[in-house]
Amino acid sequence: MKNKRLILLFIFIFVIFLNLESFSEESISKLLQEYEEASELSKKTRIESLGHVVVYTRKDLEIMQAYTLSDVLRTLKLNQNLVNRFGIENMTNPGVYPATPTSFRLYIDNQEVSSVHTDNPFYMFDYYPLDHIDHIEIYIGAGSIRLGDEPSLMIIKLYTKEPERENVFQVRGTLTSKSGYEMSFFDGRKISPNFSYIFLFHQGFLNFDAQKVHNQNIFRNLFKKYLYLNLIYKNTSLQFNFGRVNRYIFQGLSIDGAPTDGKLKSYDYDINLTHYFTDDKSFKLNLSLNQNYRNFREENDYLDGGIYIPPIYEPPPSLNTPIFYHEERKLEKYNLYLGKEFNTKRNSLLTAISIKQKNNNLKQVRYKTPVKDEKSKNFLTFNKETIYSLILENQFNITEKNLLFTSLKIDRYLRNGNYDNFTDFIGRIGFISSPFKDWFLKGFVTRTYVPPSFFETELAPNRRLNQEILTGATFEIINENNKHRFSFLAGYVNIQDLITFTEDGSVNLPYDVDSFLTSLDYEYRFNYDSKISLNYYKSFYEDSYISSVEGASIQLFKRAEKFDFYGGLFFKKGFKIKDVKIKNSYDLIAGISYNITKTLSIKFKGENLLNNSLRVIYFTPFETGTYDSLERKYFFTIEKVF
Amino acid sequence: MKLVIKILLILLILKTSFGVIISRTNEKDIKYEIKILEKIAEDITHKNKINVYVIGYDRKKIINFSNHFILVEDIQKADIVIVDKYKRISELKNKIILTTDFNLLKEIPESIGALYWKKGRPHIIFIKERLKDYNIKLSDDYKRYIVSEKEIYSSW
Repeated sequence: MKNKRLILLFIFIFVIFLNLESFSEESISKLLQEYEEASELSKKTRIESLGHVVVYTRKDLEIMQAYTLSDVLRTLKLNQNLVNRFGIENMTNPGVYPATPTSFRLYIDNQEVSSVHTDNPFYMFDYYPLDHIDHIEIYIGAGSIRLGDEPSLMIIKLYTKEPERENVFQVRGTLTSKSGYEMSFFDGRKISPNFSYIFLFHQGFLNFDAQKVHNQNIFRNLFKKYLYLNLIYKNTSLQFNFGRVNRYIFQGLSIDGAPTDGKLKSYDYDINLTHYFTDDKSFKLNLSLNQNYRNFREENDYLDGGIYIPPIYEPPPSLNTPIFYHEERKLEKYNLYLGKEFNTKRNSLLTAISIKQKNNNLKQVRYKTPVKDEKSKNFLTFNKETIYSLILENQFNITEKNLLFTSLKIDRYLRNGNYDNFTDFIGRIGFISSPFKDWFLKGFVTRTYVPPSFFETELAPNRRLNQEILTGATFEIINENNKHRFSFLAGYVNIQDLITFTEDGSVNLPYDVDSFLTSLDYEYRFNYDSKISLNYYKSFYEDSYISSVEGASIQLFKRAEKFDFYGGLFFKKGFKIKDVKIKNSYDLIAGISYNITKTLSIKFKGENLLNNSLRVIYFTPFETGTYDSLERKYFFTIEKVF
Repeated sequence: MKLVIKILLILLILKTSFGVIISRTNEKDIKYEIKILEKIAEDITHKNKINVYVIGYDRKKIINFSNHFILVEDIQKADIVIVDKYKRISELKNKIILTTDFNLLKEIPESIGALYWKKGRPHIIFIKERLKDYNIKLSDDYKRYIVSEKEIYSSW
């Protein structure tokens, strides 16, 4: 029945798709279209040495009606965007539990925005607005060193719009079928030949269905507010990014996965200065400071097991079981990056240094047990970390069609609180080769590490964790021309000392974990304004699966003069763990936009139309169950340009 | 020796796709910008080589990428004037002016049309009444880009 509906829907979308021819091919129109295509910013920003890239162009984002980062990451191959126990939508590698992964780096232009506490960007940015974003590049593969931040397995780069190409004031209002709303005010323009700016104010409330866990309702509704301002003067840009996110904590740290009450409130600001000393942008200085205030409060009943706070937790029956927990943190990050590229005809050498200081200040901790009301400050003596990095990356043209990358990053960690300082490195060799016309081969061999975050260290039973050591290789074969793009990606990674969350807190696994992944992509462009893209991926993960490892997708993009159409179907294969079977999921997304006039458009979008999204499994001493990661939702949007 | 020259020549010819792989400056967009301005100028003047005078517009773009424009220093010799920055020059009168900024259409009443960026996309626009004043007839290809004077004040 479900499949029938699905097929009908797809036929419907396809008919619309084929019936609308793209607009005329007259020469001036054609030239204008070619100009637009040649001018896409994504063509200028791609950095091949960062890994295997997936690009979402501005047009893709517009046609998809991608309003938040989550709308984009949900469609990304080889990964799942799953809700973790704090109600945060997290990128999750195939097969692993949707916890708080530390190996994803998110950049808004030059600013890396991961939390100092968790090394994870998503708790402030999972529903980050995209109204001021031009395009997104996602680099898959371990060990990119070029940007100088913590080691990563994936880099997500958001590039803001170029002011001189905007010259608009734009307002967007979106209402959802779940009584949520979003509004954005965007402005970007060039004031004089040397000075321009980009501005965004965004506010939204997202409402989600309550989930039933341990016979109680849990919530993950959230309120968000963001302000972004980028002032650009000649070769200098000064970027301000403010964010405020208040959310229910969903399962929180409650033993039964169902707190009685709980909120996570965050307030974040970044100031980032980038200066290029030369016009060719080869000599770059970046200074940034980030402060994040976080307020976490949770309550849970004694008979429900209380709240898991590692240093003090004792399960019932005990008088030391916490039933109330409140903490306030001030997280700070200061960063300096200085990089110089030396370019010759055949060689490009990047040398850079970076210094990053991270402070994890626990301002206040208060917890209650049935008999005590305690205040404490010293759960973790290690709360300050300074990282000195040296970066060297060389790109050498062996011949005109063979390029060799060699990268080395050495990081020295200085840690307080009687914690050992340590030095580790990332080493990487990669190549791109074009043996025949339209054919490209790309490969990397990498040795890297992922340091434990403050959060993981706090949750470790003896407060000590080793860094994870990753060694791996990836290989991609690409065939690309004006009409189509085919690619096959394969990768292998071995992880020593994988940090994972268990009943005893976070621990280094005593054995190595190996995983292998493959991905097949095909994209066909009917013309500049319409394309179809297909993907299939499968990951082979040695440990028992706690999330899906196989998936496929089909996406249709179509732009006509007055209309935009989008249809996407994302399949994730189900799995079985213990006695729980997680069914296959089919997330169907469809969107249509209509431009009433040049300045006014209305848009409809529906996601998870088949109401069949991947469920997330959870285990508590009381029950093993599942909750929805995505719900059926409709969006109605009005956009006006002034 | 001949072989060496041959190899060198081959290497020079091969300098194709690879530059694209590592090049981070893409100038293809400027080529198209010039191509469009040339196309419009050709369709207006019906000339193959067009004398062009620029105000505020980057001369390097024309020098490096144009095949049909000839930069002139004397505005009187110009067939077309490209304006990127507002400047009141009395000689602008009776000259055919194209701008690269939408707002300049409002500020310079002599301008007949513009190639400009808005909302991340390039646009072309021509003003019906002003084309008439200059007795310029554009082919049907341009129909969709021609608007009345009133419209430039009400929308873009």
